[in-house]
Amino acid sequence: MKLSKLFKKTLFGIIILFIIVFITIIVFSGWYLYGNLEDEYKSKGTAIAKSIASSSAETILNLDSATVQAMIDQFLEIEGVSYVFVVDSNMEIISHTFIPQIPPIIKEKTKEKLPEISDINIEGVGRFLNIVAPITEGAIGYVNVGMNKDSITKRMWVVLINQIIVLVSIFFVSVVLAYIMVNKISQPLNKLIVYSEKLLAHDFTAKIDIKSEDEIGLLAKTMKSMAENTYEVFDRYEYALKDAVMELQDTLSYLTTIIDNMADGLIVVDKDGVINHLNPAASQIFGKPEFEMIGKDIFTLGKDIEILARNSLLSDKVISSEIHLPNNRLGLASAKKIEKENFADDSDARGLLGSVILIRDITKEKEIDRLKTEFITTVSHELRTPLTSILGFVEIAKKKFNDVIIPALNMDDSKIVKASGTINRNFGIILSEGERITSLINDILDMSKLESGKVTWNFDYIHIDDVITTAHKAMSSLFEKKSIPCFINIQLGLPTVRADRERLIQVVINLLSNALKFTDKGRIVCNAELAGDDIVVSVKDEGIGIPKEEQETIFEKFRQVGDMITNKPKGTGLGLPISKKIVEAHGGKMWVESEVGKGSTFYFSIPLTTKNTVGSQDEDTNS
Amino acid sequence: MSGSILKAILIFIFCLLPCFASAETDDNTIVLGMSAAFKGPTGGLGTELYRGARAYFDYINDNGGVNGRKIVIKAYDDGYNPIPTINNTIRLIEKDKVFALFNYVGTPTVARILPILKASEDKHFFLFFPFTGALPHRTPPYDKYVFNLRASYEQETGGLVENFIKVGIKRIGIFYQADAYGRSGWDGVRKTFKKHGLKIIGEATYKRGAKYTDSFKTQVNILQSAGVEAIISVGAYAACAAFIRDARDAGLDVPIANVSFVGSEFMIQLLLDEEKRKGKKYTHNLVNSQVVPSYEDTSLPAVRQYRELMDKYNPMPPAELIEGDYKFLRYSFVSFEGFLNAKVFVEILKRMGNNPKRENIKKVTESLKNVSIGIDEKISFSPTEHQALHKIYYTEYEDGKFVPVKNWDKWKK
Amino acid sequence: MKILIVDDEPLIRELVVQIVDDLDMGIEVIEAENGLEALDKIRTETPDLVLLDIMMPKMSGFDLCRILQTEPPHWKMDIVILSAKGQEADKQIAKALGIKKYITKPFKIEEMIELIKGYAVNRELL
Repeated sequence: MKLSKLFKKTLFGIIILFIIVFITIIVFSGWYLYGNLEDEYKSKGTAIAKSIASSSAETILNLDSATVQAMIDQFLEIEGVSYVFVVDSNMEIISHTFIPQIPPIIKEKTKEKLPEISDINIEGVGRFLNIVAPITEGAIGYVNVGMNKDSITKRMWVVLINQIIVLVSIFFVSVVLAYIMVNKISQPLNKLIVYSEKLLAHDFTAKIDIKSEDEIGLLAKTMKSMAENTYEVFDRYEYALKDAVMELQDTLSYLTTIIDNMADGLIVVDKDGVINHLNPAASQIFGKPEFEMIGKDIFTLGKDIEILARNSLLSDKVISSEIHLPNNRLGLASAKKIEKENFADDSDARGLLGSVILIRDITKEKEIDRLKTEFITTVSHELRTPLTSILGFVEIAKKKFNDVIIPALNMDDSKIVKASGTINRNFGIILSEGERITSLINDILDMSKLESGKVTWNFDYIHIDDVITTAHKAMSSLFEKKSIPCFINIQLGLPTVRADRERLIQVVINLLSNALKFTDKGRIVCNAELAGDDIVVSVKDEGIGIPKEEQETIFEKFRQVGDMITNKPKGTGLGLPISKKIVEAHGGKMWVESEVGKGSTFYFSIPLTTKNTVGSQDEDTNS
Repeated sequence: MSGSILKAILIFIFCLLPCFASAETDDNTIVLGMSAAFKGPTGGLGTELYRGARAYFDYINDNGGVNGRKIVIKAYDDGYNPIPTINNTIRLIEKDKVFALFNYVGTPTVARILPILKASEDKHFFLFFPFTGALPHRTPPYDKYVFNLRASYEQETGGLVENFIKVGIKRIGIFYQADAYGRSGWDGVRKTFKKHGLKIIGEATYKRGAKYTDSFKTQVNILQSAGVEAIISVGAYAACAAFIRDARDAGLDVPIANVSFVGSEFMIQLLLDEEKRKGKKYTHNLVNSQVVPSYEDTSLPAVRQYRELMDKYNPMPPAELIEGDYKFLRYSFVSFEGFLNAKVFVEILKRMGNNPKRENIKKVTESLKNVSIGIDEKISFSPTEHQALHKIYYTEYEDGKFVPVKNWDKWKK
Repeated sequence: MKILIVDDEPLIRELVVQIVDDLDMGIEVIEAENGLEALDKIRTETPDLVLLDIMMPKMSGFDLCRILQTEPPHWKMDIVILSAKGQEADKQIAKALGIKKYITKPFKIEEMIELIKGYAVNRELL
């Protein structure tokens, strides 16, 4: 029988109470009872003694011990009376009820007059209260009544034992009652507990069956309605949650599908460099199964990617670099650190989450790039050699013709003159066309280099005026030929700027040459001034101008102004794009302001502080 | 038919007759009320006392009764306990309305009913010839309600003591019943001693109702340690016999004297049985005082008549008063005393005429002077003398019977 | 004065020969097809000026330079690089090897004539 804790407590309480009551009652009643009984005996004994005393005067006087004996014998039957004896005036015992003899102590004590009430301990018999009553004031004698003290004790114990029995019975009865009462409480309480547990386990459909009108019933009722309420709310939230979860799941599936189907590899590392996430493409790129990558440190995929990841955590920008991939493949990895500001305040995820790394296998591209470069290099080299031959030999031929043949010719013959003129012109045409091819090849090669970032820059602190002056010098003969003056206007005190001198000269020459090409009259002015953090150089001409719709496109490859014009000037169409790329490589900008018929002004800016991206790129020393 | 009805009526009336016999002096019967010990350790006393009286009454009744009236004893057992005695007495007085109380046994029992007699003074109930030698009913204020035949314990014990003193025994101890009876004996001894300036050197008591199978070694020890030269024993036959047994077993061989109340025959019988069991002597060195002559003394007419009537009638107590294993004695001092009690009462009744009334009992009894009842003493009562006999007889047991003590010298110190 | 022209392309060699001939300064032109041959010619002919192409089989022009650097007697020799490449990187390497002059192909006749004249003048003065 499993005892409820409540009952155990109650039982404990009852036991304590009982013990206290028991001890108190027993002790008290024992003590009280003993005292009372003793008093009773004393008074009884006194009454008996006095009664004997008052009725035995004459008998004693008559010396009739037998009558006295008969009288005192009667009192022996009274409860508590142990002995009675009568002494005469000579202190001689004339009647007694002692068997088998008068105890020695009595004999002794009766030699003197005994006190009214005294304790006498008769050895081997017991303890007695000796009560003395004088017969006729003691003149005739004394009656001694011995009340049995031991029977007081016995009587007291009888009463006490009865009390004990009663108390113990009450105890057991109260235990039983307590058990019943507590059960009345604990049973419904247990039901409530079971019910609460069910509720705790979110079983809101549980039933509770307590109908009592008391506090427990009320509690049960309240709990029931509480449960119903909670169930309702729960239900609602459950639906809402289901919807939200479904939505989330859809979104998640969608995102997961996207990520899983990305061609590029996606790896997410945490701030400790441990791979938390990756997509199938990443697994494929690194040639390892997903489970081998997840949870591992990023350095297991290569030092390059580890450095990338680490750097990304230190910067707010997207960091990209080429990384080595297994099987001698090359990848382009871009990493950006992820910070989520939107998490809850106490979320661990707040702050730095890690980095997201996108990896693309650019082996092919690189290969293509390399092939392209190789192709161009090879081609350009292959092309240059015959060109050199063509140009060289033609030049020599032209020289020889003019130096040796023409003098030996008869200049009177108009046919000879015309033919030699034609031959010379043809030589000229071959040379200039050859130069054009050379320019084109150079430009294509240049452009290719610039586009693929394979240019070797030679940065140094240079003076812009030096650049402009040098370019102007190189172009001066051409300006003269076309009779268009070119003025230089350089602001004084311009600071040095970090740039590639040769290349900037190239740019200025390009702009001057363009100005010259498209100008027939007027003049060309070249400006250089400080504007904010940049040095701005401009080349202004009064030429044909550029229509609005073409002002963007002229910076595109192979585009020239006036593609529609029949008489378009010669050029490669690569000059501006090349110049733009060069300027941009310096961190600067190139733009144009133009009006058709009025002229154009081409600007480019070079920033004073090194904002160019060139410095952080890999330097290709031997490609 | 009418004949059988008449017979039935007659028989019916005949059957009813005995019912009327219980009335006091109703018609023909004098009913005497007796409360005594018929059962228990002292059951022999009441039984024999009754038998002795009955023997004589039967004889008288057979011879027409006294003045045409028969004498009947209405007996109750009190077991030698005062409370039953009281109840029996009240019953006898109020319900049975006896003529007189007669043949009571015992000191404590009698002592307790004395106040009843006093209370019923106006009804004139008297107690005749109780089997006790105690003082309470021989002295005022109760002496006037009681008529005694036998001598007192004082006289008995006094006599014994005197005799012992005479032969030089001064260290006398007393073994006695712890009640009025024993106290009487004790008192008697003490008073006699006082006269001689002596003191009882040792005393031991026992509780009334003790059985022969009880041990009295403690009492023997007390008296033995006191160094007694003789012991006066005032007790009932069972206790006294057991005491003698234990005394002799303890090597206490001094003379032990018993008083008449002891019921000598019963005591001796117990000792004889013990002798048979143990093969040791127990019936020597014993003196029993008696208040009636020996029933062996056939020189006395009363003795002869007693023996004859006892043999003839062999009276039995009423069936309800017989204890299963009781052996009725052919003759005994007790039944002889009962016999004598009856004889004296008959003498009184004779002198009460044809219409005996209780109111006259006292006067008539007190008028008896020197009436002979066939023993060596004559019966006389007076207003101041309610005791008839004064002689003490000393007996010892020899050769299977009680014989008078011839010589006290054998115990001479 | 001797000029060594090292180029795997015969037309280029021919061109140089013609240019020099035209100068009529009595300059001798020695030809080598590749680096190895050049090395041999240098050792035997001790030219004053070497016109060196880069892109050559067997041994590139730069490699030759490197080897030449370790041969002290030829320190006095001037080397001019002839290259179709014209890449900055090559210019750097040339610089590093102590080569100051660099001509890109295709070159102008005048450019070549100027160059040779310049060296000749220097020679003669010395």
